[in-house]
Amino acid sequence: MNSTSLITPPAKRRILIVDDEAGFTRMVKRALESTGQFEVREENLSLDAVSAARRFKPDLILLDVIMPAVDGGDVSLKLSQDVFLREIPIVFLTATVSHREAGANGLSSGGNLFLAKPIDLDTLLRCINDTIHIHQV
Amino acid sequence: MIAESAAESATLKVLLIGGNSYEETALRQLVVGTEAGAIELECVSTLAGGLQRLRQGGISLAMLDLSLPESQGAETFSRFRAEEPFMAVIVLGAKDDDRLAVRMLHEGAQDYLVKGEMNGRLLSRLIRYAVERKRREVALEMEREFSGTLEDNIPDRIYFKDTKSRFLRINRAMAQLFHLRRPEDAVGKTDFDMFLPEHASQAFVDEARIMETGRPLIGIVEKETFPDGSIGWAMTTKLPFYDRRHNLIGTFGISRDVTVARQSEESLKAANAELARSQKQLLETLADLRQSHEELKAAQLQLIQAEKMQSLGRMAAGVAHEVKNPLATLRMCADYLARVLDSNDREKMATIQEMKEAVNRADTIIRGLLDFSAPRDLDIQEVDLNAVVEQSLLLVRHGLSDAVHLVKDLSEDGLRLRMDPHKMEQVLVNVFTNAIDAMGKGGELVVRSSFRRLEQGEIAHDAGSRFADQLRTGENVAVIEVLDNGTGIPEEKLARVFDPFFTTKSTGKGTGLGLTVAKSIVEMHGGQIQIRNRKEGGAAVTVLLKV
Repeated sequence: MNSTSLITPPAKRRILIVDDEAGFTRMVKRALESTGQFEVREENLSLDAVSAARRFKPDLILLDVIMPAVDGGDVSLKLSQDVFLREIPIVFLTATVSHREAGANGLSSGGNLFLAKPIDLDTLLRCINDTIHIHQV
Repeated sequence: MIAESAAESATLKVLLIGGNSYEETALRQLVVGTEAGAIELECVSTLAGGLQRLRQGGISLAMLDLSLPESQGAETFSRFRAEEPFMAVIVLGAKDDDRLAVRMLHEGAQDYLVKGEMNGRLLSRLIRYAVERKRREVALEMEREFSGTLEDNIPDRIYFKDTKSRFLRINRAMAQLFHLRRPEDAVGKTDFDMFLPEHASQAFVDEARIMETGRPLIGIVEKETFPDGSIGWAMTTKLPFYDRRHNLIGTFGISRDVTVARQSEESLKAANAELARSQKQLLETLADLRQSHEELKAAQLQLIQAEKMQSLGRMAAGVAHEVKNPLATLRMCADYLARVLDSNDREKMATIQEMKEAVNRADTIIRGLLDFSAPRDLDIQEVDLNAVVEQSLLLVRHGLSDAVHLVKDLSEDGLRLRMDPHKMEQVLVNVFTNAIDAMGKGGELVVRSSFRRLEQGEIAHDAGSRFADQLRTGENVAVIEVLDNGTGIPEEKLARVFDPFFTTKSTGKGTGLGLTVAKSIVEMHGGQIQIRNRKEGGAAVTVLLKV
């Protein structure tokens, strides 16, 4: 649970997207923010993912799996080791899993959700909202 | 000295050695009173004188008195003969002694006359005949020299046998073979005295047959076995022995020792046989080597192909991944635009739809590539093959328009196989889709499942197959056949249908990876997939799976 959400009525959810593909993160930000529900922060360097999360304090992290230097798995591990960050839900985005395998609602593995790229916006929105809801409950 | 030819009117010189006045007178009368040719007479009184005169030559016949100053009786003749072996001789004896006469004749005298009983006319004839006899005797002796030399010195063995196969006469070589001191010692004996019974019996039988049929045995090679255990080989010629009246009196023959030749022959035969064996072995080894070589080459090809596939796979995976990211971006762009643009602007919305579809198409290709490149583990379960077929048909039911008529011919017995059902569905869906696409204007799709044994030649050995678990002739297999009567596949392209990115469909339809992936999946199951054109048009795909 995010403490800030109690004090300030959550006008917008905070989403941190960690992916080395800049074009993709820009579009995700643009698309999500166009709904008016979200504030999105991009991070293209996986090395800086943890510090970005600390500063931004997102409600949800979208995490690419295959990245140079530190991959998604390592990032999530580091996040789980952080006292403040371990509670934040993570949705993995990956090009390695096909849609069929991921299923319409994403693949669940080790308690985390996987979405297969290329993702369509509706699926992404639904997934984000469901995840945050589940988490808040 | 050999007497000259006694032509009827030739002069004969006679030498009287010894004798008394009576003989001399009688003989001188001969010189005068004879009709047939002239006879000249010379006289000497001693043996020594006679021998000396003879040495001078010209004498045709000697008349020898046995009673001479130097010697008496038979001894006289012996001495004479020793000196003069070729001289015709009439012996003059004191009395009518038959035994002495015969003995003289035996010892080589031509005649024996009693002194005092000589008849003039008879005497001249006697003299002539004696000369003649001596000449013939000498000629015979010469002949005997020739054949005797041959017979006694030839290394070949010569023998003469009677009608009971007893030796009449053998030559020296044969005497040697029999370890006899003299050839004469063999007379009366048989082969049974010389050889082991098995050989002697055969010879006996052969000789009997020769005598019966009158046909010779020429150049027969026989094995000789001796009592001491030794063995020899001889090449023998045997003939029937006739006398002058053509009466059969036995057999005769000549045989040559060919033991050495035979042994050489045997050695050669053995060596040749050995050579032939070696050669056969060599050829067999060569054939083996060739086969191993072929197998090695095939394995090498397989390895190369597998590596190619692997690196292709790795590259494909890398490319796929890289491409997915920009696609994800594009997708997000399209979705974003769809949201922010006026949804009533049909053209803009349509454009965005085009973008989405293009992204989807690209994604499908990428997915296909990933499927192809990553050999995933199979999720093996025991399933009913027909159920998998039915499920796959369900998945393509949208493609089964009214124009395409489905004929299901599934085996009545349930075919439970161990397989990954999802992967197999992927295979079947792909095959069905191809068939349906080929029958654009409609047609008949036959789907058949059965269970039988593999015939010879049904399975192909694919050098490019990565999987060693091949099907073999005689094995029981489950068979799925998918037949369509669409356009079929151009013959020159038939061999390449399983190649990655190969497609006969127009651009945009199909990734070209469907059959490649299908083949990969089927082979992972240890099966085979084959595709051919049907006689009646269209294509037939056969999937063979291990049971």
